[in-house]
Amino acid sequence: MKRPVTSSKTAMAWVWLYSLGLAPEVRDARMAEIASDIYEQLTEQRSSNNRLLPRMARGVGGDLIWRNEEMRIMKQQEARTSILGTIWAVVAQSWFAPVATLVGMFNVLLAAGIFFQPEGTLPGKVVGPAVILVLTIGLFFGLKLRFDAQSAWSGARAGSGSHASRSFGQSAAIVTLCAVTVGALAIGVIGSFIGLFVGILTLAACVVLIVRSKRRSHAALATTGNPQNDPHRDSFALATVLIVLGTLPALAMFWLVIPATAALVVIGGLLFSGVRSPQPVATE
Amino acid sequence: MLAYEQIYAYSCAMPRRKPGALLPLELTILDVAMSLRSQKIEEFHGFAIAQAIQAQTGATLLTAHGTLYRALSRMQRDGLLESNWEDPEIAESQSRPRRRLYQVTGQGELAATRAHREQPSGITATRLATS
Repeated sequence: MKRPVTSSKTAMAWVWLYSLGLAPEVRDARMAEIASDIYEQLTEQRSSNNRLLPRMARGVGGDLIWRNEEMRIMKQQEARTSILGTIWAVVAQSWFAPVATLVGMFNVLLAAGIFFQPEGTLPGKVVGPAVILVLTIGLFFGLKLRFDAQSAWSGARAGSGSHASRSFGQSAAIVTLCAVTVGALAIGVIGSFIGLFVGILTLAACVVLIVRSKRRSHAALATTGNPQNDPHRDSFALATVLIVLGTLPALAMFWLVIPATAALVVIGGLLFSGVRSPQPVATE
Repeated sequence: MLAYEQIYAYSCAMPRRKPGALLPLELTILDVAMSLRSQKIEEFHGFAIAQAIQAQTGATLLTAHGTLYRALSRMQRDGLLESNWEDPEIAESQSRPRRRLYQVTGQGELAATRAHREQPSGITATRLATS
């Protein structure tokens, strides 16, 4: 009675060993199928009990080749998921990203127009374009941050370095926001109501984002894996703020209908497309 | 001997097969499965097909686990076979592990027919005819 138990345990131990690291459903199915085969063989009247191990041993090469094939399939599926995640990230914001780019280009032209204006006087001739350019850089950076966050959210590979770039991205975004705040407040103090308004807005956004970021990092240390502490949401929030601020120069020129309308389209796109996780590409 | 050629068809030393071509073991599995179907046995599990192969080809040894299940897995991926797990209640009522049941697909039948047409004097056909 001991021999069949030993042979079957040895055979199952081999299956357990060569299926390590495979997807759980693949591994479980393999173990269940071999277990069934072993049971059928051991209960078969005509076969003797000691044929189980030789039968297992003759197939060791095939087992290892099967494992390699399954690993290759698993990696291909991961790569496909990563590609799909990137495609989804593009689709999720592609419909307003070109419009945001046009708004950014308008901002650059506006800054150049103000700087090269013959009637312009210092410091407004320099400070104004500088603030507009900072807002524009923030807008493009916000688009990049949003794209990276969406890619990571959609299940891109962990090894792509996106996690490290998100941390750097968040820090750079906060620094940019602070620079915009200082510049806007400086203009506001000089005598521009719009500058003061923008400065107060960005100051409030800075405070909120910094406080949330610190709160989430503390909470993440305490409870890992909590979806509420997902850094993707912080990246999305930062990106949204940067892009909205980047559209302000175009909004301010409301009498030029097209830039202002484009800015509103971008803001609308941001409001109606938050963090989105497409189910088909979610890795399991 | 045929049995060993079939059983070791998946050894590392074997050359890569052409796309769409069947290896000897795969053709044997399809032939045996279709002969079981002619006996009103529509579905088969791994050990059953190993026994049937041994019986119908006159092999002295059962097809090894690694060889057999790799072949079944590849054939399923290629669409030559389809599988499903049996009802757990049936297995539970008989106090045994659940079986994974395979069926030959239409594509599998066509592949076997095409392989036999290309190799009319196939050893497998001869052995089955004489069994």
